[in-house]
Amino acid sequence: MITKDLLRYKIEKNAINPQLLKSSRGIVELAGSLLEYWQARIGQSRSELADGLPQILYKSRSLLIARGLNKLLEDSAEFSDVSSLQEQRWAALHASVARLQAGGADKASVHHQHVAADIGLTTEQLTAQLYGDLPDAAVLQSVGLHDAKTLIQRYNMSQCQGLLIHAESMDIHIETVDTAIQRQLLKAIRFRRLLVDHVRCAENSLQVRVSGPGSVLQQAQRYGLNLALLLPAIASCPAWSIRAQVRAPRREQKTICHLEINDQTGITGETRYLAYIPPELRSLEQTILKKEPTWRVDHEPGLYPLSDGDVLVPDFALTVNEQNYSIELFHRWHAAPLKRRIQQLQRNHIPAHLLFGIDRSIATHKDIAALLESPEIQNRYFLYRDFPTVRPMKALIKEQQA
Amino acid sequence: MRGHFASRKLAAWQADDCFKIRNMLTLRFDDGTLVLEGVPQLSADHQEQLMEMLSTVCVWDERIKHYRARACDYAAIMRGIHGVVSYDDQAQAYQTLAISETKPMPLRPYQQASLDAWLAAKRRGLVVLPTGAGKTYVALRAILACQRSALVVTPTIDLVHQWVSDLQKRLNCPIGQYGGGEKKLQDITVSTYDSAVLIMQHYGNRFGVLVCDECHHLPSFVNASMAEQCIAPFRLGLTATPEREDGLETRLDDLIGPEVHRSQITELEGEYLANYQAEILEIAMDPEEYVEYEANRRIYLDFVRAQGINFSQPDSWANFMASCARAQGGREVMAAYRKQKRLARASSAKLRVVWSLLRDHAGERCIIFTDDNATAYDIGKQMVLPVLTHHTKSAERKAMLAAFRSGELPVLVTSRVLNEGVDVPEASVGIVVSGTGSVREHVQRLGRILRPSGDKVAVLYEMISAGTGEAYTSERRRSHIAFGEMADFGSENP
Repeated sequence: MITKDLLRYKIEKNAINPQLLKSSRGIVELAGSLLEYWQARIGQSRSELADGLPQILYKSRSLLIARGLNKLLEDSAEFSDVSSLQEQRWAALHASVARLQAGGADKASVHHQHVAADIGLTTEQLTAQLYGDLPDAAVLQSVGLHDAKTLIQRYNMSQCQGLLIHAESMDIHIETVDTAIQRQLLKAIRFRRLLVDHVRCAENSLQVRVSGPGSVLQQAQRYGLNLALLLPAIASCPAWSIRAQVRAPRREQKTICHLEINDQTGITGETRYLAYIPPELRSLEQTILKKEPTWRVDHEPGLYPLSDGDVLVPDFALTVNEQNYSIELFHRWHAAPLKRRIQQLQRNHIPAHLLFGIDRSIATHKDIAALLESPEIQNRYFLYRDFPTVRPMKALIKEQQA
Repeated sequence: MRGHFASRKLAAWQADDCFKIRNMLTLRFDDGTLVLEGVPQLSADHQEQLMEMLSTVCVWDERIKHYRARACDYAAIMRGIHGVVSYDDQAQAYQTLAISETKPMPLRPYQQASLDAWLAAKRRGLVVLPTGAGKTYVALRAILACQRSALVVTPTIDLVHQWVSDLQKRLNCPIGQYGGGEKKLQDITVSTYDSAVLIMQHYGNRFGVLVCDECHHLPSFVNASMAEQCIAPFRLGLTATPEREDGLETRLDDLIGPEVHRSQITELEGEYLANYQAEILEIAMDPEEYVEYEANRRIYLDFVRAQGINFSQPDSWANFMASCARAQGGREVMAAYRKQKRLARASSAKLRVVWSLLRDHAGERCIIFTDDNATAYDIGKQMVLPVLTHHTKSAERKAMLAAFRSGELPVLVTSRVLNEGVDVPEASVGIVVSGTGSVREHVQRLGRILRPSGDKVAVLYEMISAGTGEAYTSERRRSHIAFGEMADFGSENP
């Protein structure tokens, strides 16, 4: 993702507009030359890669654009792991101190030879090993972007995402009759653990209001990143628009601006983002299948419309002894949604197979602890720390089936 | 956030029915700012007084139809409304404490003078003391004098650890840490500037005392927002070198308060700081290296002249880089620039002298300073020495510093990470192999070896490659009373 210093935007009459790239000849050439440079350096170290970069970056008419494109290439690149040489380093340093304290050799080169001999290395080996584990020693293995067009598209997406990280709130509007897309987008919002203020599902449209990182006290940066990562999923829908209230980055005044982007803006989503399943959920599924081989996990359970127009989106569903259970999770950012959900459930009929998982960090809030005592929910939730495990889920399901 | 006040706005404020009408002003902390709500019914005199205060520190926020002010203007607002209107202060969320020192120590005369001056200046202001003079203890006594929740902010995580450890030893209360993997807020909390910036819009009303260590970092755009979003009426800035090359130190007056005390290194040397010598070693390059240096420098300078690049102009460095990227032969010019720079920074002759100094000072703790990481690692590799840079992982960095303090590793090579703050009282020899023209950097480097320890006499060696641009750079960085010169902060010349 592009960093704050690489964002390009204009503010006009309180509207913030990302400065997106067009595929002009100059831009395509710049993106192409950067791609070519990176691809030609596969197999070289990070320091070798860095040596020639200024020649390309400064050649561009806009250093800011060139640095932005380069950052995306860097993000897409894979470098070799550099294993720690700390143990060998300290052995050499101790040997060196001992030699120095004994008076040391006349010349540093002789001292170097003595130390190498003391620890059973050649001087070349000692030189290579002493600081051979610096990040600069990592070798470029692959570059994840392969053509100038994709790089430019990624750049434009990143410019919009870079602004959304600073959003106060975001309204999403999707025009589609395809309920599968609606459901997938709602799932994507849940899987990014975002705070949903309200959801309105209609026959041919979906409206969702999501809170921005300013609403969370813990890990606000991570939350902002999750919000930004939703954009490629939204942009893969057929007819979409978002309106967000954004704090203009790098401005001395905390200016709140309106950001409006839609399917005409010129950014391209990818459907794979709609199908995103978080790694922790995949890992939970594997554990379930290992520990409880007769259970079945479904990542796309049905939605539950509530009487006040809101929609409940379970995180996943389980089939145990031919009984289906839908499970909605409330993570550490979700204290307010949990309160709202319990209050909704008190007003609505709740299907018997709907269960809840609640992060311990919010279950201990005084007002939530009191609400959890209410009969509508008291036997229908389990607690977890950071992410659910099988044991508390199993205990709750056993209780349900008793 | 300063704005002008018009009486019709006050009328609108009083007339607007979007809030409860009552004869009381409410002060509320809102997202790193202060909101003034309510309709005070005032006499003409008091109304004028209120208007004056509002015009100085508030702006009218049309969206909410209330006055809004920077959180840091809390003290000014309280002074403006106290005794003028009835008010309900809902902004303040800091605690009154009853903490004490576990083993009180007498203050040194200059520390006492600093504290007295700060207390007399309404508990706001800047104390300028040399490194090693005991600024932390002055801050601790200032916190004790206020007995309010306090936040100490520092530029690096090493300094956070140092402050936490020091405060834990000296105070009878838990010490919180925010930053560096810890997120524990207590009545006394230590944080980095970076972490404090992130939390201030939520917790800016939780602290009555704000202590900014190495406060020359505060005026930068982002760090300043941290101080602006905090309501702390009592503010103490600590530094050895408040002056900045960009001149932004003038903002400290607004963010922290005026300079209330300054002691110079030369005043404290011998009694409260180690005696020291600063020696310049002008080292001639080996003849073949000098020829190479001259040839490369000529290529670089000819190019700069031909392109009409003036390094005293803003953006000149970017212009040079762009010219090298675009002009025919520019790549060779860049290579020549790097070569002559590398030769001047770390000639073979310089490195021989470094080795000789290490042997002369065997048994003493030496810090070798370089201008860049590459030179630091070159020295580390050639002489098999520990190198500490921003690449060094946190655990190894702690281990290296501990080993240096204990004498297990008596020599450290570093580029810039030890320039500031880190307490290594045992260090007595500093070797500046290369550096910038920054007075602050040079004074801070001297500060690393000045902490008193027994009867040590500290020595700072400064190496200059004879006949190169380093002589001019050295002259600029020594423009300080500590080196027998008056301060004059010029611009950097690459």
